[in-house]
Amino acid sequence: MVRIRLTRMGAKKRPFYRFVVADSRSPRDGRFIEILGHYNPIANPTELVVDKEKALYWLGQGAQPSEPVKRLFKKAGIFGTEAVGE
Amino acid sequence: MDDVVRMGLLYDFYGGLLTKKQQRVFGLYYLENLSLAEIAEEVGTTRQAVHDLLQRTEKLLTGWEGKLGLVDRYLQELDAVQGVKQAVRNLAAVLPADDRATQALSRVQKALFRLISVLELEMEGEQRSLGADN
Repeated sequence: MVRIRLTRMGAKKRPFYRFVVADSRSPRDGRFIEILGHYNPIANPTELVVDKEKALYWLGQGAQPSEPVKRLFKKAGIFGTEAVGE
Repeated sequence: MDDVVRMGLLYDFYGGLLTKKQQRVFGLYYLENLSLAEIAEEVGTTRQAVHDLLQRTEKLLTGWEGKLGLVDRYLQELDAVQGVKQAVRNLAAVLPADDRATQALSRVQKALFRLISVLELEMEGEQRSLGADN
């Protein structure tokens, strides 16, 4: 199964996240198929950047977003505007 | 603040107090964002066991934060320093371009960078311009 995860990059105390598309069969090898955007929660204002076209493509392919990805995609307007199932 | 971000910060501050196993499972869930089932497979246990371990770990971390408040304090420092930085930028924009003013501003900027560095609010190379050194 292909999943969309919110993986943390960045150093200690400097959280910075990436939205990545990855295969759930190889969760730990760090490989991912594509980066969909990033999220910097402690920037002021918060930085949330998602490539909508790519995100919709992968969701359309049946990629399963994790719970935090769902929440942030909603915030970014990926969900709720298109005919994309959650 | 998003739960994941908060848990990640709690882990930054208190993660060293957890056992290796707690660190591993917590990291897989909150930093790498694997599902419970994926973690269970990874560490060779059940989904339920992963869930229970995560809950206990979260409780430990939030308990420490309740007593020590390091994350809360860090976020307040971050916010306060952002305010000072903005104020210095605004000041730089209106200061007359004479030597004394420029020198005084430069000292304020240096002091602020030192404060940011001591509080570990920014990484090296991450520091942004304060507006007068352009």
